[in-house]
Amino acid sequence: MVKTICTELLVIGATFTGMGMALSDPDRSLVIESTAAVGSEFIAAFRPGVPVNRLFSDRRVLQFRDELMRRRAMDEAGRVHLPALAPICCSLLHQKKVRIRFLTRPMAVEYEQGKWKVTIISPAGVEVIVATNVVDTSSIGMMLRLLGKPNEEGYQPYINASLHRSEGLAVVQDLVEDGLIVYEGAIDGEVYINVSLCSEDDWSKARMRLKETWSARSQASRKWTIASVASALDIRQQSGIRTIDDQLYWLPSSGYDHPLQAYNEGLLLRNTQMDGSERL
Amino acid sequence: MSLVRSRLANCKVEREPYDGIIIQELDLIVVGLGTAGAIAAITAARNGLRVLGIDQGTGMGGTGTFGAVLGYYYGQRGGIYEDWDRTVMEMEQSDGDFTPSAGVNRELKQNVLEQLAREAKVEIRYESLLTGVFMVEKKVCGVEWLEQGGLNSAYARMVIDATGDAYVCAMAGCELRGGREQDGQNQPFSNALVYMKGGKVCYGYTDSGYVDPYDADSLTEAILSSNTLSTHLRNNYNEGDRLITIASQLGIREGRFIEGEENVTWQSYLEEQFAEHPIFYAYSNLDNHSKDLALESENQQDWSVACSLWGLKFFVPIPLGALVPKEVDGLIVAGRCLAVDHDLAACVRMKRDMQKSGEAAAVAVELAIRDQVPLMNINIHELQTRLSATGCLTVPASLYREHSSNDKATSVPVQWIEDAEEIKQGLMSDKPGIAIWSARRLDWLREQLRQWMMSDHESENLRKHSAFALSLMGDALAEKVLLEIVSMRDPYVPKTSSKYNMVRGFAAIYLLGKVRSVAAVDALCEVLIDERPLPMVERNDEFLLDEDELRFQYISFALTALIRIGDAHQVVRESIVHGLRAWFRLKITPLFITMKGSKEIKLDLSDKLRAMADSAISRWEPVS
Repeated sequence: MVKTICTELLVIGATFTGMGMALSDPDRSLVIESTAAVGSEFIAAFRPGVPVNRLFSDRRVLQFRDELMRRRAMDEAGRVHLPALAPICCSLLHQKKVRIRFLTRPMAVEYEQGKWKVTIISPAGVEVIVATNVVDTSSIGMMLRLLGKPNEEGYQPYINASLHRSEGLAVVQDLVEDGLIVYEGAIDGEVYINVSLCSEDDWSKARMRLKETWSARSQASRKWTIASVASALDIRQQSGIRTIDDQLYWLPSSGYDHPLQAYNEGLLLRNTQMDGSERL
Repeated sequence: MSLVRSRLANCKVEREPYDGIIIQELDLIVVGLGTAGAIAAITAARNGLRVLGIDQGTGMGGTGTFGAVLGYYYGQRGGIYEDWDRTVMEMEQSDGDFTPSAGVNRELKQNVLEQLAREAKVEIRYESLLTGVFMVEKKVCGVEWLEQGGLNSAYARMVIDATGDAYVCAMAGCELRGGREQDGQNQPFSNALVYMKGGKVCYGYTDSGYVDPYDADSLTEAILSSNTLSTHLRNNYNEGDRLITIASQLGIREGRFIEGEENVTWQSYLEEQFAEHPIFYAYSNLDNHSKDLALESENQQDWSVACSLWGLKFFVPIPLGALVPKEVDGLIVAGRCLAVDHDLAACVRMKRDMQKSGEAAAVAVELAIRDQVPLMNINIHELQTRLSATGCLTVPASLYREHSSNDKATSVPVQWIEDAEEIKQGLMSDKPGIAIWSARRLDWLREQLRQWMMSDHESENLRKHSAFALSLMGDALAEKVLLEIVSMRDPYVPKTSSKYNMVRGFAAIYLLGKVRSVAAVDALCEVLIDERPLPMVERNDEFLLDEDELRFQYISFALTALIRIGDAHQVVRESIVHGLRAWFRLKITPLFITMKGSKEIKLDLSDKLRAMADSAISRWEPVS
């Protein structure tokens, strides 16, 4: 017997945008996340993002920012210490009792009597979620794929890595290389590189490209080594919400330049709905 | 014979006829490319099979790579994985692209495995989650999975379930078991993290609680709560021991086990019923991380509580039948879901041995396909020869070994003692565990043990440890000395194991329960309500953190002993019920235990113990 779960809003992906949406109204939201982690589009992808020059006004975003800064997970310049974001987000989700299911993926979707019936698969097997609204915050547009609709927007994937400098202080100027984009995190020595990929590259190909690019680095960069390779691809989409169908939307969290901005967008979108404008 | 698709819904199997089109046909599908599955897929493909490997993650290697457990904890050396680990070490030293790492470099191991898989022409599908199994009657003939593009499926002549948690077997309707008998609890999980220290990539973890790996809500709670431990959620993140990442895969030590064509249980091991044709050996101690040992099986408590043999390492011969699910064809497992039980799984789960299981499963499949016979009908001698050639099957000189506590690389063989004088010396020593266990095996020694136990001239250790050996033999004469030990809340802690040694006071309580001692009822009821301070020995931190934990041990052992005695003797049930109710009236204070390696998590087990007491009372009530 397949179990059915009902919710007003189903959020696909525990992304920063997805978390923002769910935290805005925890009682009426359910988040499903295919991995065992939050914010994978930034954290697991080793994408610290670009500090944004904008002032956030929402109280909850400011509280989240203050929490990051208090724990030194973000500096004054807006650079984040990526691995610290996951525990802080988990703590927030726990405190606010957000309904979330990790290791759960949508496998089929159909529209029935004004609601979306999403068949999911988790370690317990197949279940069904009936939701009034569905917002897909994944980078790849999972719902588009399940509906067999083409994604006509191009996107740029990267494979990223976290570096370590074996000698002396971290001087990122050493790392000027063709094909490498360098980002710094909030902690001294926290440096990430991005290597661009073709959209059809699979994981195996992506890791080969990273290895080839890295092995060919100049002598000046050889003091740097790869400490860890990202476990999620960094797939950059365009920002903003797209309507896929009635009550079904795609709002890729990876469309934003910074985790805090993605979080803010999730909260804002849900606020608009709460204010009585077009319901999600 | 029609094709059916078998899926899980609410952990129950649901089958339906399948008339969809399946285009791809392979020799072998390996589900799960982790510790065991990666080795299995590459080995099978190198041996000429057309192999598809699917994994829900984004790379190969499982616990050692994405789980961030970089080191090895025991397991027997030998097998194809050793060559590949050596390649990883050599690359780390020579190419200078990756930061040196503790243990086996997880990035390079992932790279090496993936390179080997490419060379062997393994077709890999990452981010692919198993959704169903195709079967014709009792034969598995393919699988269905969800990948980013949607559902996909393929036929195969054989399937290796290397999911660790027997998901393929569960979907195929195989008989499964798991957890301990008392409450179904499995071992604690961990959530490892990776950090920089001294120019090296290091890893660390503590036990983080319990999780049901078949329940998404339980997994979710485990992910959230383990991330908020102070190891992960820090007040101040800084450059010292800079955090690099949190493992993308939880460290789950125990899930379900298959009911195999042959089963290797702790009971059968203790009875020395060893597999006639092992295909590899597992090697470790009985490494149960739980601290509520009173709720474990009597067999486990005989070993770990009465004898403090937690640390003794031993080899377990694993037969082919322990990888083959009973009465289902076309399916074999590799990894921790093989046919052991909860007790023995504490030993048979180490990464080295799980890699061996992958190699063994792959060669077994190759032989079955070549000879077109069911797995259990392959030429077992040929399989053994093949596995011996790589070192995967290496017969140990001795089944038991003891390691120096500060040098895991060196070990000495341990034999059970058969000489009375040697046993006497052992019982007198501060490492009495081997002697107690040895004496228990020698019925001819019973009279001598009684004399040692009752003599006022012998050392305290000899008297008391003779009583331990006798009670393991079921000898009720031991109860007088055991009661003396309990009465003084004897704080003595032997040094038999490097850690997890048991306080003599509560070990004696366990043994009074074991001999179903009617005479012990009053004393044990008193233990439940005794609020006086308990004498605490300092050098036992990892198992007993503080007096609260010691009190938990006394109460939990007293409760389980009383229940055993009451179950066996109707005549004392009324007294026991009276004692249990006195304990309830005391308003049971929280009974805390912490997790191994962490002082932070305090599990309150008072409700669980109370429920056990209530259950016993209701079981006895019509009589009492």
